[in-house]
Amino acid sequence: MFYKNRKFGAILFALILPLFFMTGCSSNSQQSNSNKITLNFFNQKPEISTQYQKLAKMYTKKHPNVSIQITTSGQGGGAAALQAKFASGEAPDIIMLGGLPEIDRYKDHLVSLKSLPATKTILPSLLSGGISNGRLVGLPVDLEAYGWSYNKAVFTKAGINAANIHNYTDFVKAVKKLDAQKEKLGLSGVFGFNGADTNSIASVSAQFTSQAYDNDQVKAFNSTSFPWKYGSQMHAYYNLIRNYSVQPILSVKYDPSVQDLFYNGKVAMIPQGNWIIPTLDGIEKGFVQKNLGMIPFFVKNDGSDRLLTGSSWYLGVTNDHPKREKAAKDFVNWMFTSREAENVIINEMRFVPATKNFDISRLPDDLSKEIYRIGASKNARAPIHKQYPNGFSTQVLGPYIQRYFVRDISWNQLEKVITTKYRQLREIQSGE
Amino acid sequence: MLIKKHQYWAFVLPALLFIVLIIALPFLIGIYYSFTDSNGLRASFIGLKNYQILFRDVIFLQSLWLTVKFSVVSVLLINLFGLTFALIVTSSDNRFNKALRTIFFMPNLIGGILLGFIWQFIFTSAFKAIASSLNISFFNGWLSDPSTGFWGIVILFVWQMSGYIMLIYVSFLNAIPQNTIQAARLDGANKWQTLLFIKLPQLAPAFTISLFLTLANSFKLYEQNLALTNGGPYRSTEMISMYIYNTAFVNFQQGYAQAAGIILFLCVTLISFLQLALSRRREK
Repeated sequence: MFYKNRKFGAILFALILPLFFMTGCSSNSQQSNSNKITLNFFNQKPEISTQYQKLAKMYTKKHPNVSIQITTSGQGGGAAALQAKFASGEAPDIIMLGGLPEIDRYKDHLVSLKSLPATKTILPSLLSGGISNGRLVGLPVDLEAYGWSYNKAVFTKAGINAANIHNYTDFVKAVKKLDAQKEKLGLSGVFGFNGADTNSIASVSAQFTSQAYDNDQVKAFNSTSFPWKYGSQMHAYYNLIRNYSVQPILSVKYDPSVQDLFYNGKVAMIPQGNWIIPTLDGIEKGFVQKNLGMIPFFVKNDGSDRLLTGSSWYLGVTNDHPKREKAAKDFVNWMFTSREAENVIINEMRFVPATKNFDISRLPDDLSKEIYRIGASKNARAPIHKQYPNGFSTQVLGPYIQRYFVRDISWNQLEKVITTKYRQLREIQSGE
Repeated sequence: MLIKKHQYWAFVLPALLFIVLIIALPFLIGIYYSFTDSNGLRASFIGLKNYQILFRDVIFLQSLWLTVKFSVVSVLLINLFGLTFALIVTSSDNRFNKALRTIFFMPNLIGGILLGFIWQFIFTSAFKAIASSLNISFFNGWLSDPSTGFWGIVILFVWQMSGYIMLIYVSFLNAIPQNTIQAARLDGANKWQTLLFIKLPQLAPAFTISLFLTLANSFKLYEQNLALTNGGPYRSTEMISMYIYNTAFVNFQQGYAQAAGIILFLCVTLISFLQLALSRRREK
């Protein structure tokens, strides 16, 4: 009996032993390399993860005791994945956050970046998007322009000069002119509005809601009412989209709208900004320089309308691992201030930098230069759609605009529903 | 000695421990969270408020109703197809039927997400090509319309589950004693009569299992829904599981989502028990 018991014990011991080994090893390795630091960087933009890997490697080369582990999760699942990280106690050191609602969720974990040298170089119009409770906790990843992207080749063939479009009437005229020549130009529609994606619907809505807050993202985040001041212009634009877009409008998706409809000249305009640059140049080098231009939305319609320029994503540093906090700040600082990092960011990510006094001759295409000029100017205006309540874009605004597109509801019903739902969501979420 | 003495507990305890840790405890904590306003990081107790709001939430009720409709339709269709397939492949024992068996079962080997994307391609690209080449508007924009979107998910799910349910029916059909069928034949019963009065009554336990499986699965459907329509157009094909996920991880109203989850749990339990009780009674 004793023998049997011992055998059982031995098996049990053999089974458990590796567990001890494994845990022992990992704690050992941490102790032996106490001067070596591994930073965890949570990235929510899958399309630039390889470039971030490259930046990480470059940084490790210069700072051999710091290595950077990049975790990428995006396409709608990023926010949930990030929360899981925090809930499991593995908070990343550097996190990419989309808008103030997300920053607010982690406000107790984020450290102030005010003293960081990089902070002083950020474009002033973008700073408020990283402020929580009066503390600056996020730095904008890049400068993005919001408006219509148009295919220059299609415009030229139709005999339209985009430089002569100064107001809404001009714009409608151009749309009608394009529509009249649809057959000749081989267009499936004037617009390739990707009605299937609620995100694009939300970013277009920002054209009409951002004016109310005068670049104060915090004010937009605290607002409990949806700004309808330019509602009639919004109505006009959505009608235009409904009438002149590729049908059925709700089956058009982002990827095909860029890679097929826009690239192949099957539509003249899509409601996207400079984030489509890498995709287009990836298909054909030089396409962007040759064929891509942007037109603003004419909302105030008084000659002051420009492309909206803002940043959807902000970088923050967490205080969960005090030992690594400084290294994390240094890395973030390096990404914003060093010339080599800037080169990767502008040439490989194809971003327009969000920093002041940037030498625009370094930017690889004319559109990026123009965007920087607008974004760095005094009257730059940032979009506020990232400050809508959690879920408002995908669960309320998007679906109801989609209903409007297919004539399921009237504009009056839409206004009513959006006003109430916006208030409800804001109240529920700020009450926490 | 210790083990010999408490043999029963020595074997039960490890499993019990894990069940308590992984299923029972989180379940109880989950019930608690449904009474809070948790956003995933912070939570405070708010009593029954979540449930009160839930029963006035139009979108929640819509998605619950949609799930009920979906379950009824897909349970009926899956069992109909599954049984038909089973009857076809057991009708005679030749190579062709064996190949059919594999073919019918194949969709079940592919994961739900992949199936969703495959069918998305079929509904958007292949259907569109048919529509434009044959000029039939019926095939246009299937996933951008609420009713065809609904049927899209039904088709996908039926296609996936029928083969699996077929296997259950096949095994029960093979277990039917041949002498009962032969006796019926001798008494002059034709094929239909044998099916209706001899085979089907003996398949009662198979119906119990199949109905239970399909019912529970269709109520919990998520990934096919996500990959095929993602709730679109305008949330009209958003089933209850997707509603719960979105409320929890898009809106970050996790206490509220938890309450919805509890309601789903109660629905599934109630319906499953009812169905089991009813079909068990019929088995006897």
